[in-house]
Amino acid sequence: MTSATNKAIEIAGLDYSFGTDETAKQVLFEIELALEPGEFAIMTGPSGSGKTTLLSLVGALRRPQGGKLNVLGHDLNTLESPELEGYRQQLGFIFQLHNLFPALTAFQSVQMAGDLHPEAAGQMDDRIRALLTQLGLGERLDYRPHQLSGGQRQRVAIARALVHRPALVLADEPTAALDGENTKIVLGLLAELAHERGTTVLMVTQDNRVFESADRLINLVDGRLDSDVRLSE
Amino acid sequence: MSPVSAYTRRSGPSRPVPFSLQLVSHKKTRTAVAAAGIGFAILVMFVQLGFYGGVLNTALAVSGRFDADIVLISPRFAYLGATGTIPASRLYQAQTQPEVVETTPIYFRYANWRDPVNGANCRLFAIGFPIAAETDTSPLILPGVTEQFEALKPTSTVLLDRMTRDKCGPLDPEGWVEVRDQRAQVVGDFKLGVGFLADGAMLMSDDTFSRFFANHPLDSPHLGLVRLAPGSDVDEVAEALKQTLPKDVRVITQSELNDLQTRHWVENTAVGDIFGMGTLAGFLVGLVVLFQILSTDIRNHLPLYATLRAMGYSRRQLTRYVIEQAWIYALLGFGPALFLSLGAFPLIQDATNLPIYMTPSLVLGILALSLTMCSLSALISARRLQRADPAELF
Repeated sequence: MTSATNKAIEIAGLDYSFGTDETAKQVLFEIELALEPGEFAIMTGPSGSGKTTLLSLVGALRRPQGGKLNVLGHDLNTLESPELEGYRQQLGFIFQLHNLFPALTAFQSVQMAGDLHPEAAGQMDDRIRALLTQLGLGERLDYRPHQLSGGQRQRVAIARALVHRPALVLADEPTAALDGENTKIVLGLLAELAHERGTTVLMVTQDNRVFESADRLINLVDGRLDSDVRLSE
Repeated sequence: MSPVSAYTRRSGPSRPVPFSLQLVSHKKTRTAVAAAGIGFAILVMFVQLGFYGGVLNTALAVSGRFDADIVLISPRFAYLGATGTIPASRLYQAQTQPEVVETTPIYFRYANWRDPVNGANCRLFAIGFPIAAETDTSPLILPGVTEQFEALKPTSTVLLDRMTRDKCGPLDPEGWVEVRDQRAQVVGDFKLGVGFLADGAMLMSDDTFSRFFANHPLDSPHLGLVRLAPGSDVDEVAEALKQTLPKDVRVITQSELNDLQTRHWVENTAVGDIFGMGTLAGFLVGLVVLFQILSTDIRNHLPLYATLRAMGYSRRQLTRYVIEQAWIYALLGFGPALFLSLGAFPLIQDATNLPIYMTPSLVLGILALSLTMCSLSALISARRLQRADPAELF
């Protein structure tokens, strides 16, 4: 179900608990947050503060239990298959683990994301090649994960998340396995997507190197929004 | 100089990743072992269904060659090995129908056969019929039999099926053997093949049949063949004969006799069940082998499948990938199994004289069965995909 809103992400009174009844443990409390299209937001907070839970809720990987959650015009409280898959295809996920199939080459791993967008089939090969080249993997298009270093695998996973030019990127510590130069390249890519293509980026990170690329810094503590600072202002 | 990537040579719209093929071909040793296991299961199905086909061929080996449109049988008829007898007079009565051009009495019995040279004992199916009249022809459509009628006229002479087991002989250069402890001479041969019915078959005159079988009365044949004029309506004449003839005979068409024979061999004997169960066993072995391979693979790749789910792949698409992998395994196993079966069938035929043939319908049937087996296995394995929870990825 879609709803008319000009916000990329609109969260109001969002609660979330793990478990049920007496064993239930609430991890998010009354979250209020809104992100505009093209905003690059960083979410920080101590371990267990609910950052990744919030990320998975925005990604429709979990179903909201209370409150309102609208993303890219979709009401995630009511989203069901096949609209759910259609919604996820508009996103780009970057996980801490690269999760690449050992049988697929770098090119094919990225192409798996491209295959979900047949409307861009005519340009997808070129786009994959360009993106992997930009990420320093132009010479390793047909390398399989076991032939790549940890950082290279992570860059393949990043290319997989970005190749279809998603409307929203959800990233969990994407630069943790990268050196300074590659971190700069990845952040440049994300900033370019945000500022030139209107992609909204919501990134969980503790990496200080990232902060200068971001527009907003959101801090969660014990499941509550502790601060929300606009860095560009 | 850096190596040229395969992808730099591409042009035009991208083709989807051959994901299933990539997963299957990635670990070659595992794939080879899996294909061997599935191929073995398919080979078992080939052999078992080959034998099952042999049962069907056995059922129609004799009745399918009758030169008749209508057959008169005893109400006690079970199959060609247990026929009961009918009064020969019914054949004469049948000739009163204007469409009937010829009737022929046939005599059947199992006979003990002994080769006096090597002492081998066999059980042969004996078929007797009249040969005295100039107009008599072979009641079974078998090339070269009518031409050998002169040789069959002396009593105690027989024609021997070339498909009879080798051990039955005859080893004697002049063809002397013992049939039911009486001397008999093989004076010629023919090619029939009676499969599971007996060790072999022999044709003889009705007089010789009567002599071998304790003066079996020639007015009590075991079957009566009725041939109609070309263009006659078989069902209509059969109906007329049913109305005309007394209830001590049953009137059935040739195709109804074939149905009776098939039903007997498939439903009333253990042979049909044995090979049916053998086929099922092969099917289950293949199903379990592939289930082990696919479910282990899914379990090992669960976070990766969860990633695909997060990217927007539906569970249906992932299930389709598992089914595609299963089909690839099915084809990898099918090829070698067909190749081995093509080699094994003639060897089994030579060793057993059973009518087992590799037919296009058998090949297509096993292919369909293999794909069904692998699809089922894939669907069961794919239930594990439910555990691929993208929420666990962050």
